[in-house]
Amino acid sequence: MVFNRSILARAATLVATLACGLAAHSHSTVGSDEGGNLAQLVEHSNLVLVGSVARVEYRRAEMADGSALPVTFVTYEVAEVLRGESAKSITLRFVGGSDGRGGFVEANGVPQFQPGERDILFVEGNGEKECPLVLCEWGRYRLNERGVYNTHGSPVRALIKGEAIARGRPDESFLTLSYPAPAFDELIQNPEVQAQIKQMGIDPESLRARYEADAPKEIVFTRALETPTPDTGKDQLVKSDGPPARGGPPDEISEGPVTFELFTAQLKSLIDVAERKPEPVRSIDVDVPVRLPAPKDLAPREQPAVRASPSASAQERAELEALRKQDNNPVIPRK
Amino acid sequence: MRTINKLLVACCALAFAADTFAYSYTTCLGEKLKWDSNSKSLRASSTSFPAGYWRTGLQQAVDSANLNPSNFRYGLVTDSGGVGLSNGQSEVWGGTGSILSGAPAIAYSNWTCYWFFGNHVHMDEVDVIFDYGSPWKWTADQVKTSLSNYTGSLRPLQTTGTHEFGHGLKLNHVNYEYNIMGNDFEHIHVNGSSARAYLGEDAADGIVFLYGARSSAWEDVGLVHWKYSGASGEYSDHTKTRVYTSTGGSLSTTTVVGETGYRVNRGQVVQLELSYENMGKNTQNNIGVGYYISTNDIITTLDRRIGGASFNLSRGDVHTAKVTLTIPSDLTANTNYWIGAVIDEDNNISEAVEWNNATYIPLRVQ
Repeated sequence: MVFNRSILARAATLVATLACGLAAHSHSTVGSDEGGNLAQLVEHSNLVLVGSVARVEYRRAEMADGSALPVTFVTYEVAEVLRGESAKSITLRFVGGSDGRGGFVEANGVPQFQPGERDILFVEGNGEKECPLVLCEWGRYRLNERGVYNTHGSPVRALIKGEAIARGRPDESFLTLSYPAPAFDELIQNPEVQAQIKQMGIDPESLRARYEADAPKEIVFTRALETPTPDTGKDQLVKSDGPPARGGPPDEISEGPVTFELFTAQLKSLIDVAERKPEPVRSIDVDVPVRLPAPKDLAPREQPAVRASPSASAQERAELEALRKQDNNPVIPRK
Repeated sequence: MRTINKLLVACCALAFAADTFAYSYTTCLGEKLKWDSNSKSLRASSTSFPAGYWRTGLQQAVDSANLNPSNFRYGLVTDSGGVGLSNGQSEVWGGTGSILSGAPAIAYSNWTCYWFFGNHVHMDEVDVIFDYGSPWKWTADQVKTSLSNYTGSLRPLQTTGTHEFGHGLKLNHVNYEYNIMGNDFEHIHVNGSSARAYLGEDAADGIVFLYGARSSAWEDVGLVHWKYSGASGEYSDHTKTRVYTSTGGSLSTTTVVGETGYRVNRGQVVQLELSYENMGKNTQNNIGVGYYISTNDIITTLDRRIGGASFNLSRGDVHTAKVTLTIPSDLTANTNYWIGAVIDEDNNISEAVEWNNATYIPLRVQ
């Protein structure tokens, strides 16, 4: 893969600016406050579009170490360009997806797509990054007839000072993901299937018609959200008040979602005052083989020095020693 | 056996009862997506995790994920021959660049799902990559003053590792409960100077759902000074629990040894808020909890007991609750104290983990 230095440099700056070094979700560059900041998304995007997914195609990228990794090409029919320039159709490349033989790869935090979905995308680094959206999962907002949702399907409940506040249970329509079922000729390339055929002891060709008749046409994944067991009354502990918002909006904000019109109006006002001029975004040719660098394991940085604690009193030292002797069980018998 | 005082606890409505949900998992063709077996060996890069400080920290992250009441256990061995994605090996290493999509850590999961005269659904591989590049700064020392939430500036390798290994079990993010599958660096147990990663009630519940309850005994209750504070996207946000006035109002705060402390008067009635969790196999009945005042941030039963409670606690929910307590009148004015609790203070439960049974909140007694 050829890396664009300017994009990498800008991405590094964005990470440093937004991440505060630490307070980010595990798979995200930033924490929630920064991720929903529409001004930041606009500023670092080269293209902001409204579009619908026309095609989702999967290919196997060659890794430099000889292995293969599925990648997903998502082609959007562009309904509106809010920032930057785009043809009526643009293809974006994401890491992960289906290998067409019953195998799947997912990079946590990298969005997945379905034909027909409507989105607002903040694009940068297409073909140069594993995820060509600004801040990856934060650079996609999903649309349905009710309004705007974040990439995981939680409704955008408010726009406060340029921040999109998305919370709550995802809309059911966003909890399933379908892939085309493997074609017979592809599936029988899967070593696991080959082993089954061998065990069955029959000619694979004799299975083709039955497979094509009986196999589901789609492989459907569902993100299941388990509901806690209803209170049985056994737990006598009484809970606290509901969770306080941490420097965020009050909990009485509407259930959402905000409308597409409201969201894009706010977005356009931010785009109008963006300081950086967007750079061109190229569409990716699905038929050009993808080659990715081999992962490399790095040595850790120097072991950080442990910060000194305030010096312990004799009583504290005795308590610590007693705790240590108890294998850190805080129930310590009094002598 | 010590008599346990049952405290009256103010009844409060649950603001989030209407549409709560707990752990999240994935199904394919209607079947749970999970490993076929109840064990998986992870291979640690010897370059990224050489013997010593970093390897010990990684082992602690694996141990943390393994402290659960299910049958599933990870193993950790040293990798050889280089790391790779989709190579049939579940590896852990430190890297950098776009493979991480800008995240401090990422899990790449491989799985199989197809129909061939029956459903075939199983996990195949999970690779966990920590970002060793800028701006991420890790610690593996389990000392709270290293951490950004406790006057330090570093991110705990163990909590992030536990989160990623949760993905390795095919748990998804959760945004409706205090949970390691939300913001991991705000999901940590602290008592004294020790800060330890742990899996938590909700993820433990999810792993039992996926892999079944452990055949042998595994009981564990615990408490922390963290709670759920809100959601953004798929992630739960967490914040520290607090001390309130007797009516649940806010107390003024000050800094006590670098942490937020609450200003209280001698003899004042306050509410102490903590989160209680059952991460074991079974519901525990009549668990004794003692509340203590300490002259330091280490809460043990050697400290001064100022109240107690007993209650039943089941797996299936994190219980963040307030209890009403009176600050003793004979404390020294203008002095720092720490109020806290010890769960299972009578040692009645034979627990797999005991270190998570006590925690504190700083006070400034006026």
